[in-house]
Amino acid sequence: MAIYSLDELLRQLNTRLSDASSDFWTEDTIFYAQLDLAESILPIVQSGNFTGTYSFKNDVLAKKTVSVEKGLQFPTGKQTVPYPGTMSHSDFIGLENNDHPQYVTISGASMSGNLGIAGYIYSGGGDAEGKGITFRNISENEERFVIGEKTTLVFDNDKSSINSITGTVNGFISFDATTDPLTVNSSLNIEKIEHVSKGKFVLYFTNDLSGNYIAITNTNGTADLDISFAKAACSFRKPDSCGFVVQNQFNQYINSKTNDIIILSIS
Amino acid sequence: MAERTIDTILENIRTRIADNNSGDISAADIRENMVDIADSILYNVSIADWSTDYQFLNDISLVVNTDPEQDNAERGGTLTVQSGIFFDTVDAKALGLTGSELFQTVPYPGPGEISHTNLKDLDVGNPHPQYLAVSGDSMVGHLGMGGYTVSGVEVDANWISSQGPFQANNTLGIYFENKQADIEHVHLGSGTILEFDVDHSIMKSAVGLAHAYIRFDATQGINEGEDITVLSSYNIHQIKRIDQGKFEIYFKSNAVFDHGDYVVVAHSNGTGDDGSIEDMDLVNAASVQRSGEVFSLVVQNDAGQYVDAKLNDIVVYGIPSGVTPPDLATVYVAP
Repeated sequence: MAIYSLDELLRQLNTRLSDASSDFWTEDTIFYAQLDLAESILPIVQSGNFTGTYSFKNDVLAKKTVSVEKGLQFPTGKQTVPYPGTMSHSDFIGLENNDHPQYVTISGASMSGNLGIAGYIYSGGGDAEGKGITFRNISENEERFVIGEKTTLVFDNDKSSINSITGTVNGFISFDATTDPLTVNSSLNIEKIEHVSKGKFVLYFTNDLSGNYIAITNTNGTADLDISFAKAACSFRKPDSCGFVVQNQFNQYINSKTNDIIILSIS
Repeated sequence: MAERTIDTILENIRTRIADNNSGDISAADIRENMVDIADSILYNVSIADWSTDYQFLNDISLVVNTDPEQDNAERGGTLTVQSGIFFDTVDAKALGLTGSELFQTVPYPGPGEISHTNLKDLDVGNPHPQYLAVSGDSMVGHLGMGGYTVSGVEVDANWISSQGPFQANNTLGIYFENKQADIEHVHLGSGTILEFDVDHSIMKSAVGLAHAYIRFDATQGINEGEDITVLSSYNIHQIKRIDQGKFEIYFKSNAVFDHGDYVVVAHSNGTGDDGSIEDMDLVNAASVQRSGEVFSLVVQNDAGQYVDAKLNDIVVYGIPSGVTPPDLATVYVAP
């Protein structure tokens, strides 16, 4: 028995089973020729070129594993490494492209929805704590826009700046006490003004203030360019109210035409 | 000889080597059938149905080897498929793949060779929860916008605004500027206004805010030896009693002006804030001397005498240094 290549097998069969030698055949002649044929089938298949004429015309199912030493050739290219089933995102190329339009790009983008932020939005220089702005939720209906304690708000319009609103007026009112009832022309944080008697008024705040607030008053007896001497004072001061009194130069309480008071408070 | 199908080969064998004609069997009958078998091996292997009728029951290995008939040229090792590879594997099915999903029709190029851009469904869902979704999201950390210098290199400030990158000029929205390690500025662009939705009040400038204020009682001090009690103050460093009814008030170092042309409004009352509404003791308060660091306050009664008043309220408004001054009011003289 021997294993032959296809060409050699054909040559052996044609030689050993030739017409000229048929008179000398024995049983062994055919027996061994058949054994050689049988044994050579798999080696012939193994060495066959199945890429050209003998490419597989039908599907092939391998019940076990197919191993390749050089790779898998697809019409669109060659695969030389196995697909691992899962891939690390970091292994992809082109990660710097903006492939996810649903995300905000670091180079600048516009959000189409709301943005919540728990930390600070700031320049990025150094530690963020206390720098820039953030938002603080107080309750379901109260949110605070917070300017960090290391931060100053600058208006580029004129370069003016604030790092506190302590300088903001906490209340004001302008009223005419010569009408009946008196006429409130403008007010902020004043819920009610009570006309106690001539030249005496009590202002009730909408939101309480601390006791040691600042109050600047002004009054004039007329509403035109003339002056009718009068002097106003914020007399008593309580968290929820303050007194506003007006006297003329003879210390008589009067109802004055123009009465202004502004109030500033730390609270 | 010729390549023949298995059916043809079998038919030829049955015909030419039949039991009932053994006397007529020639050498050619034996030889040609066997040669046909050999010669048709590859042909019949290639046309066989290896997915249903026959299946490879063992592993298949395609090895690289040399062809002695082609000058030992390298051959083999490659499996070529024109339709694809069907992964009828447990692992593939465990991934939930079915039908055509089990087919691989293009080569896997290996790690580092697949373009992220070519992945499908890039805009579907939220595969990267670590990024901000443009449709709305919540940040759990800080967000740096640029506007600082690190190792001598300036990082440009970037804007937050309604138009974002589409704004025509850098005047809308806000940006940040890191001045020092612990000093940060938030800038409102020159075209930007701060608006409070609660009453739609707006703020274009901080100039209108009180620059400083103080409230004090000049009739008594809290501590022994003191003759003034400061009840409230902002941006005021110190108040000094020069004499009865005369005071100097100093700004904090970060609140000094580079000029004395600021506004001081003052109010004084001879009685305290704990009395009744009738408590009014007319006095006049005025600030006459004003410099960048300090301004004066004098209080007189109706008789022109300097008095230490119980209630003194002073508020200062002005244009700090570095601030673009608004246009001064023009003067019109009536004809």
